[in-house]
Amino acid sequence: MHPVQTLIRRHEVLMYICVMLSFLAVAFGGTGVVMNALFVMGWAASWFAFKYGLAQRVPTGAWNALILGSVALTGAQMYLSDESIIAVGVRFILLLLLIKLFSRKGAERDDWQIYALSFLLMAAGTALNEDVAYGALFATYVFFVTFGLALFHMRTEAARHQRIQREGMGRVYQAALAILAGGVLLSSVAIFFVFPRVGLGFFAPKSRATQAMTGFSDKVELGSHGVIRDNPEVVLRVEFPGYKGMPPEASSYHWRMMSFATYDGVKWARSLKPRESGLAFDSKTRRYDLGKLYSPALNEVLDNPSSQGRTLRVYMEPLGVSQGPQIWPTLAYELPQAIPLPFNPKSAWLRHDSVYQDLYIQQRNEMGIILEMRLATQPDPRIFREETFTSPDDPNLPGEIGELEPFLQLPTGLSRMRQLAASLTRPEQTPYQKAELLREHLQTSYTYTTNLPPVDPDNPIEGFLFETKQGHCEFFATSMVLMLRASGVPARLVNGFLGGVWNSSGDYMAVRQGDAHAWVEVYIPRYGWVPFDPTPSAGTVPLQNEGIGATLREIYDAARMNWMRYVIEYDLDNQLEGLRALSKMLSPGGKSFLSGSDSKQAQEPEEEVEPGGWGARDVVIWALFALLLWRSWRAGRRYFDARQPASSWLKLSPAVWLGLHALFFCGVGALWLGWMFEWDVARTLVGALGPAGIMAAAVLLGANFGASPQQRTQGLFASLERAVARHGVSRRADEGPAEFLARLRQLFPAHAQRLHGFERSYLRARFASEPLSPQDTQEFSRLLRELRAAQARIT
Amino acid sequence: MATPPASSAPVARASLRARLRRAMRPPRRITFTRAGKFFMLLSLAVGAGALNTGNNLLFLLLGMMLSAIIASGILSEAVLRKLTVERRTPQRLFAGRSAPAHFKLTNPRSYLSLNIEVSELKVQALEGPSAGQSFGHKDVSAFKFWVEDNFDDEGHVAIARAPELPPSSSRALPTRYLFPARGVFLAPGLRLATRFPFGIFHKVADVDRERHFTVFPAALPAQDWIDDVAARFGDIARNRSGGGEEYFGLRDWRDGEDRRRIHWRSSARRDTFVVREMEEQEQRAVEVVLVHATGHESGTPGRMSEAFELGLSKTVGLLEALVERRYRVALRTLESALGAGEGLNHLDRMLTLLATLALREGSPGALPATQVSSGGPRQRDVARVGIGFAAALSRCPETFDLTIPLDPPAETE
Repeated sequence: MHPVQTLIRRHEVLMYICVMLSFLAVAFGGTGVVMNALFVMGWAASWFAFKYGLAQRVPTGAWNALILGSVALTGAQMYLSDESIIAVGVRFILLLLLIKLFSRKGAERDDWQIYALSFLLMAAGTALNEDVAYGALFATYVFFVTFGLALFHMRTEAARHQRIQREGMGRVYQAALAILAGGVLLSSVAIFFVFPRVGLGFFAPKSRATQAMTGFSDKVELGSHGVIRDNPEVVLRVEFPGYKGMPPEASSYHWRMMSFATYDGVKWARSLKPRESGLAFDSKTRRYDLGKLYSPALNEVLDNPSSQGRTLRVYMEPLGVSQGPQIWPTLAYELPQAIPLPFNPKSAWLRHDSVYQDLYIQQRNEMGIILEMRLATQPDPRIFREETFTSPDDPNLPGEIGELEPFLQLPTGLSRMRQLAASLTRPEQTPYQKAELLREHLQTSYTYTTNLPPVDPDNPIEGFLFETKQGHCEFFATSMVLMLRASGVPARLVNGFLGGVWNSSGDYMAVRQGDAHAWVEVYIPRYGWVPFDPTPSAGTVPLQNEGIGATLREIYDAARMNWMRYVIEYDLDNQLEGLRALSKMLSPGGKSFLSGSDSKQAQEPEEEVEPGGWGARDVVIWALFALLLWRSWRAGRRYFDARQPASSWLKLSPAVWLGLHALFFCGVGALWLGWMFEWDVARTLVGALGPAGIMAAAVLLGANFGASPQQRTQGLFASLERAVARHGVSRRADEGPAEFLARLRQLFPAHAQRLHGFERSYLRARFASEPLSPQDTQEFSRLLRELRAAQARIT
Repeated sequence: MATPPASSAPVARASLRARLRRAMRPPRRITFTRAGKFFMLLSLAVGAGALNTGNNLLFLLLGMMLSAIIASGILSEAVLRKLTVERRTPQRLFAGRSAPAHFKLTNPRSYLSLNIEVSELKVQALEGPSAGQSFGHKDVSAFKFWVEDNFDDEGHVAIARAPELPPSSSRALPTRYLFPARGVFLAPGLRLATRFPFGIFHKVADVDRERHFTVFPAALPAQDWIDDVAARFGDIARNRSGGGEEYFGLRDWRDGEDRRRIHWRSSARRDTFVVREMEEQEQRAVEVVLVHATGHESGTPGRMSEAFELGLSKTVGLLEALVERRYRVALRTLESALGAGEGLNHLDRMLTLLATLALREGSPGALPATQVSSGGPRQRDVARVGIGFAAALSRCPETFDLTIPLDPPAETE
């Protein structure tokens, strides 16, 4: 095949791949089965349509009519349906792309339009598909589009001047293009990370589809739990900074999301009006103090330094809900997004609701959230055990005893349950004791199952307590809340997630939809709400997935986690962190330029540096110093390189030029190493003398060993020229070396013999590549000395 | 190789403004191709979208577009860096006729160059009918991104392309020079350009290679005039192979001459090509007197200028035919005179004279004296042909053996 034909064919294949990749980028975001099938079939058929010249057979007007038709269709869809503009727009681009693929005549303009449309699809894909799949498709797309555009350019140029060299399309050229494509991909990633994330946020996406998440549902209907038990969709990803692996207690973390007050006999609801308010925020550390959630007595216990517990870093998926997780008791909450910038589109705030003690994270957009939770160790239960409601006027009770009334609400009926509660507890027992008794009863007398036996739909709780005696967490929790309320203890149902599974691929704990759980919060006088979990341990063990599918899912989730963390959630804060690390790396003594203004940095202990080890800082410093040495070497070599005369601009002699360079490089070296190592004498000396040494070595090697015989003799000849130049004798432009040396013999008759000897060895070395012998060099050195000394006699 | 006559033209220095502009010129100039303009607009749109929404995937896309732009900048620079270019121009250039030439492009680096375009920068007419005008490809200012640049061959005085140039190599790129009019032109330099690697930018590097070109008037067949000359002075058959029987002398072989005329024995003795000249036994001599005046005192009618250019082209045709027929030809104009001579070099001298000739207004006045060439036929043997407008010829003090009017048909009727 003719090289141009090969080029055209290769370019077409690449263009079709680019189109398919851009289609997949939007298809993963959901473009509809019909459109997907239509596009894939059209995409494949257009290849053959082009081959058989369909575009030439169909009049141009027909294609224009098709384009107008798709415009009209899109307009009608936008007007008549309530679909999002992006979905309709994507469908329009897909239709245009199909029409363009079929109407393509192979002209430059057609192909540019196809590339532009595929690019628009990639841009639209950013709004539809935030998954890690987009990342994989994007990387592949960059590779192919770079390759494709370069071939397209070659093809256009070939068409322009009607000829192309066969060797121009060889493997070397294609390998170069592949490297170029890889370079563009790397550079894209680099630009992505350094491009400043300062945004105005006028059009930030705020309408992400809300998903019904069990752990967040504002209604709980008993009996719906079983279906989500196997759902592996990840809700939270938790890292444990400073701890390798998963801490043993993490599997029993109760991730509290929201609580419920009202039970109507069948389902729980949040009938009370929430009262939202802000939380104490320290703008320097970006930490929210959660003390407001707890009573003063509990705060006093938690304030004890021994109560400081673990720190968790939590990545919350974009779930379309605003509740924030808490683990009882949490001391502080850190939101990196709470960066004090007026127009940060990613900024987030934390608020709290004093009725349900829920946390709300408010955001400008609906992206995922990264947060840090500082936990406290759980207080000793003994401190709660003796607390009791003495009288309504007890000053230890919150003045809002009336506010606890909703948490004593019971539906009508349920007489058997009330009797059971009364039989299990005694009035003189404290609320905590009652809760312990009821929990023990439920845990020992009932069985956990997700395979619910049929119960009376109008009275599921008594059905569970007295008939089936089997149920899942919602039955246990609801029963305990109702029995506590029946015995006069304020209690409520809490929804959230329990524990999680360890993802060894990503070193984090994944909390999944399947880990959704319900438990109880009991009001303990003076101390406030304390959690109790009445579900037997079988129900509280996180469901572990096994097999190759689970492993693959784990790997995928780890990739997704990294994608979310490093790409989707990457923001100005991360950039500042990176800048801080870089400035720390490249600053004298390893101190960050920015650390002075950052109290958070000041608080954190300096990272320990292993003695004798090489950190990234050392690598960077010495790599740059090596670069300086290399430049010094080049400068030294250039001194003997006849093809590059020393600065023709300043008219400097090579020696002066070399001297100035030596001064400059030594100065830079001394400044660099000296400054970086806080004027450590030894390293400053290395910085100063290193370039000088390298330069001297380059000059010496260039003069004697490194260069070819021709280069060396050229250098010698230049030295001779410089020596006689002192006497005002210079070589004429039309004078060859032999003629010049003959003239010198006449001018310096006393040295005629040595000059003749030099001429012979010079010509041998220069034109017959015979190396100079040590004797020759010695003779020459003597000649040079004599010629220089002759200056005094002549002048 | 003999010095091409094109370079022996009068040399005029570039204007101060042109020199200043050259001194201030940036080393590279970048313009957008049509696709490049769309690419830039799309990049701006993606950038604005990314900043507004904070959507990181749009930042990723923006990163790709900026990378493509950066890669274009670096690679196009790598393509043009350190390349050297020389022009090898044709011996004779005629107005409106393209002449084969080539650019010698050298890549001294250790890596290859791709998609290079070499062209003549805009040339400026210094002398001749189009003096003061510029010819060549029209540059579009980089900031006028709404104006589309044309990257085809049209409009260029000379252009050539190299799909690739291997490391440490030279390549002769064939091209054709085309000047639209006769005269002396100043070519300030050459332009190296590339659109590698994606065709979104057009990067150019201008190389100073100042050169003057003398463009002869295009030759038109002048059979009617030749017939007139033959009818008037006789058309005796010539001995093409010899020229004469008696030895006249040796002279150096000139580039472009028939190699069969080289006298090999003498050449071998002298170590240079020589030609043995034989004396013409019956050599005819014609002096062409071009009276380049209108003969009218006021103004130059447009049709007269056209007729003059046409006449000039036919004069070239006549001179070529006469030299071809081994006449000794002298040329005299109102400004200068060339003695009778023969051969291609003499023809070049005559054409150079004609290249810059301008039509004068009014009466022709006195002509310069005829140059007498040594060894030529005696003065009285020279047949004098006067070419010019009828009004000018009638007022010319000289007498001609044959007059050829240049007047357009409408005026002669």
